Amino acid sequence: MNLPRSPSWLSMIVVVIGGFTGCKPDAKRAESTTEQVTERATQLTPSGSNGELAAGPLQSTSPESPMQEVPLSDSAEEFVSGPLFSLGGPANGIEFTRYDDFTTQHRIAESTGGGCAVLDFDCDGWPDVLMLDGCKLVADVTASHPTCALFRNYGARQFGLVTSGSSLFPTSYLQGVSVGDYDSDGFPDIYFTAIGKSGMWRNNGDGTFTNVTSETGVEVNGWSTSCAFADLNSDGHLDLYVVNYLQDSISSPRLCPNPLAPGGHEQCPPSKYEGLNDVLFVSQGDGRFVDQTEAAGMGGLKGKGLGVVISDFDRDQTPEIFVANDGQANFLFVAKSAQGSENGNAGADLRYDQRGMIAGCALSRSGYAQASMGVAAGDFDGNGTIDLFLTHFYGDSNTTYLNRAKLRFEDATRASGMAGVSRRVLGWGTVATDFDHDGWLDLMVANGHVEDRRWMGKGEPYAMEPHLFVNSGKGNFRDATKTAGEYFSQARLGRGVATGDLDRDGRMDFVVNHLQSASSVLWNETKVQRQGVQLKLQGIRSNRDGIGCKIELLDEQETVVGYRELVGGGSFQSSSLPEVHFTLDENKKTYFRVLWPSGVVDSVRMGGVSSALVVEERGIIPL
Amino acid sequence: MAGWKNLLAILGLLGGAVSVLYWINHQDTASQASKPGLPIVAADVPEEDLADLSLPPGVTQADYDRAMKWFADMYPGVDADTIDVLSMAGELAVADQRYEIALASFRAIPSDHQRYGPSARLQQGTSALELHRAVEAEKSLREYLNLAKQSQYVRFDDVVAAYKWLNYILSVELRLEDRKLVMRELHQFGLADILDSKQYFFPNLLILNSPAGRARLQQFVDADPENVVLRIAQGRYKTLEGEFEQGVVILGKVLAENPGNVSAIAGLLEALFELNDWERFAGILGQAPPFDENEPWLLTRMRGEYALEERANEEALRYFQFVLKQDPANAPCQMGVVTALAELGRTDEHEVALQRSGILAEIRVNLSNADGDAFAALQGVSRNCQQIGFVSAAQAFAKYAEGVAEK
Repeated sequence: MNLPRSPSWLSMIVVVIGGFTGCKPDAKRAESTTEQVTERATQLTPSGSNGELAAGPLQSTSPESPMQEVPLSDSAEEFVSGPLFSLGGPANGIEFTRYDDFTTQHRIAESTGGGCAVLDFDCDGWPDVLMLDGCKLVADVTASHPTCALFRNYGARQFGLVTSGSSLFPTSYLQGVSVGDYDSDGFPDIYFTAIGKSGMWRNNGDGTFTNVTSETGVEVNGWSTSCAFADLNSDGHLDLYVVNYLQDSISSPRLCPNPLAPGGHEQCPPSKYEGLNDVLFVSQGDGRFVDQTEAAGMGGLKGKGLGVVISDFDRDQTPEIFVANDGQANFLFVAKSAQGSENGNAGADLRYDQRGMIAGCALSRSGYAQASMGVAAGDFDGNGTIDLFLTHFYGDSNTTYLNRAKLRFEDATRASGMAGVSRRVLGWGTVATDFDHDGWLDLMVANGHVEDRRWMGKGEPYAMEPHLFVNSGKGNFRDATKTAGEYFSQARLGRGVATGDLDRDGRMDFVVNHLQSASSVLWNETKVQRQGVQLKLQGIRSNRDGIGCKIELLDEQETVVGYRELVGGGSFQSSSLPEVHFTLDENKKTYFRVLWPSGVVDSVRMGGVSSALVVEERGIIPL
Repeated sequence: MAGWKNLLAILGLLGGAVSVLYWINHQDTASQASKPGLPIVAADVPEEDLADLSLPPGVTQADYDRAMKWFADMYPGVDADTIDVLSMAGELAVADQRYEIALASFRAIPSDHQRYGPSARLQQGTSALELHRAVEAEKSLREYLNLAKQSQYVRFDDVVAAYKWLNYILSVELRLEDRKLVMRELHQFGLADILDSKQYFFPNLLILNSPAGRARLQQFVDADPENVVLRIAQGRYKTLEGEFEQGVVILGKVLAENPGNVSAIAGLLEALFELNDWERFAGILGQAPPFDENEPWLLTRMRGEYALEERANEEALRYFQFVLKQDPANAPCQMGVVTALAELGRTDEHEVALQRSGILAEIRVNLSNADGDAFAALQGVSRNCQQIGFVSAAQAFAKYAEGVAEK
């Protein structure tokens, strides 16, 4: 075992290049097998109600392989024209409009809308889509119908609504979602946040889900927004962080009278409310969680959180938790110690310091606690650390915090070219991915006001165009919205955004949940010059989803030419497909070095052109 | 014209005594809100030499005659002098929203007229504001406030109103240093309310580019497009709204036409700072005169930002700290101090400065709620101020909170 740490001595694993059935269960943990998935899935019965499509046998309805090759552009001119998206939705079988119970009272609860998720719930390799719905906001919020819509991906850009067949039946006024395999059985489970009761739904591995909120011990009752799975104590099990927002009564919400406003009220600003403590649930490794908020030193902070991302910002193998607060200083929770134990008491010694201020990511460079909504994380400047991009309120700029290592962030909004472009929009969900395949992470932002204030005559629009920012290199962004396709020229009330390569052509697509208008699917039609590749991670010692994995792309000289981390959380109330996207220069020999949360390091060489790989944790733990 | 002069002569004979009577009549009906301690009735009012007066430009004979009739109807048996009539003409014009006439009428009333002088300046100021003539409005209001300090013929409400209007003009024009002086007087006289205190103690914690302010500034500019102060404000609004290049164009033009104008330089540097264009920034900063204690805070802050960029951290610290002496709640400068101290490795001071930044951020949020019925927010501001040694602000906001609690 005394192998040198040189990458050349690490195991080189070329993993699955072919069928992308990414839910291959781990032998040690799985309760089901891949074959079982298929068998059970075939038992799904077509539903004639609600206009839903039959789920159908997974293998028979899916193409032989979800992987495709996108034709590469030879034209530099086409390339420089920037990312281009076509607008999908109903034509692709995704027809969904969120219900938010809008009233003339202008309750603040109506403003946050819902998130969405891209997940492969049936493990057929085709990313599916989940949209979150609202319901009547009454004292005891429960709907008689599922407050979500699950769309199964049949390939060829065709989806079908399979909510009823899946038994996924949350009934709360849903806000956010996080997807993670909490029980390590190989099938992605779902945690929903809500105004009301948040809860966990276990994926049964047969295309159905079961509400396991009580038995897992993760119920939160209040106003929860974003949430994130991550293995915080490196015990191989996913923990859960739930972000809470404001203290407000659902039955008797606070209203701010204004005789001039339509209906006699305007929305009360968040500053009128008390914040709430977030909740940290630590996995016990047996499917149960324990609320460790107080024990971990996170109690009493009463934040007004809307976004969360969990990443190992300082690359010390222990993740930090960043919480984007609305009109309050942001939090950065840094672990004091995070030793998992093997006696079933994992996570008991998790302790955190809140170091947002000292780290420089709590306030803007102007010293203001901004109204943070969504957060995207990624290595924008290519220095091998994870940076942050935060969306903010109308009149303020979105903020880019570049990671300067050792838990020091710098507000680089001006230097990144972001200081001016967002002052006349109000941003929510945001994702960072390389849309144009130039190797640099770009940004998409969904915009829209919290309420219709046009009666004020201040010139603030209600619906707003989204933004697309192209990273020109090293974290310098340019606004490419106008040339990105029709969706980007249309004003909507954007909220949750999630990304994933939905058609498996190697290019990253995304979905958006809106207020008061149909949700959208955006197909990436960019003429790219480089092939994209998705890495789906399968942990063995590490958590099953590989959340927290760091992947370096190295050239022949062992120089890191690309860096990604599969972070927990991100965007706003939404959950992107837990895969890592890279673009490869075919003229250069490169390979991936995968640094698992367990400490295992794997090296992966591409055996040929492929748009998707499954990387299993097999390497040797370095000494 | 002969008739006009005869009338003036007749009025002049009756002038003194009637004027006192008229003043008393006026005050009997209009002085309910007068502040104790500010006498409103003159013991003696000198006569006017009315023979030299003529109709001021812009005031027609018809306006004058109408005013005289109104005066006679309102005060039967009292003979009006020319100033009485002009004052009445101005007030009638205001009521009719004929502000040009009003302005002409009030302008014609000399400031040293004991009875009408101060109020004419106030009404001239407000009439000018109606016509978006910011310069004349500011000048008139300032003159009114100066006169008010010496005059016994001012009403408490009018003084407050003048301060508010002057404050409004300076706010729209983003002249925070000038506004601070005005707000200081308002506080010294005990005339401030919550909004005034917010503006006085925390000028840089409030949102500067409000839509109302933006719209009003545009009206000012439309009325006086060549005015340098207004054009500088216009450029700064562009910057604050994220239209940096437009800000650079406007401010660059102003500076070209007014070399050495420190406000224009400060505004232009701010736009270039936002653009992160340090090359152009250095060029403009080179045009600035040497540091002066009376220069705009923004210019001093920009000197600090440039020093930070150049890694001249001690120098940066001095600039930021200088601004903070004038405006202790200047959050961007406080963050400048934080950054400089971090770069200098002065850890302990850095942590204290950081805490201060955190508290300023909390104050900013509380300020957005701190209105006449928000006890918790007002108390929060007071508590935060105590934490960082803003004694006067802490006391002021504690008092406002007490007022809310009593209600």
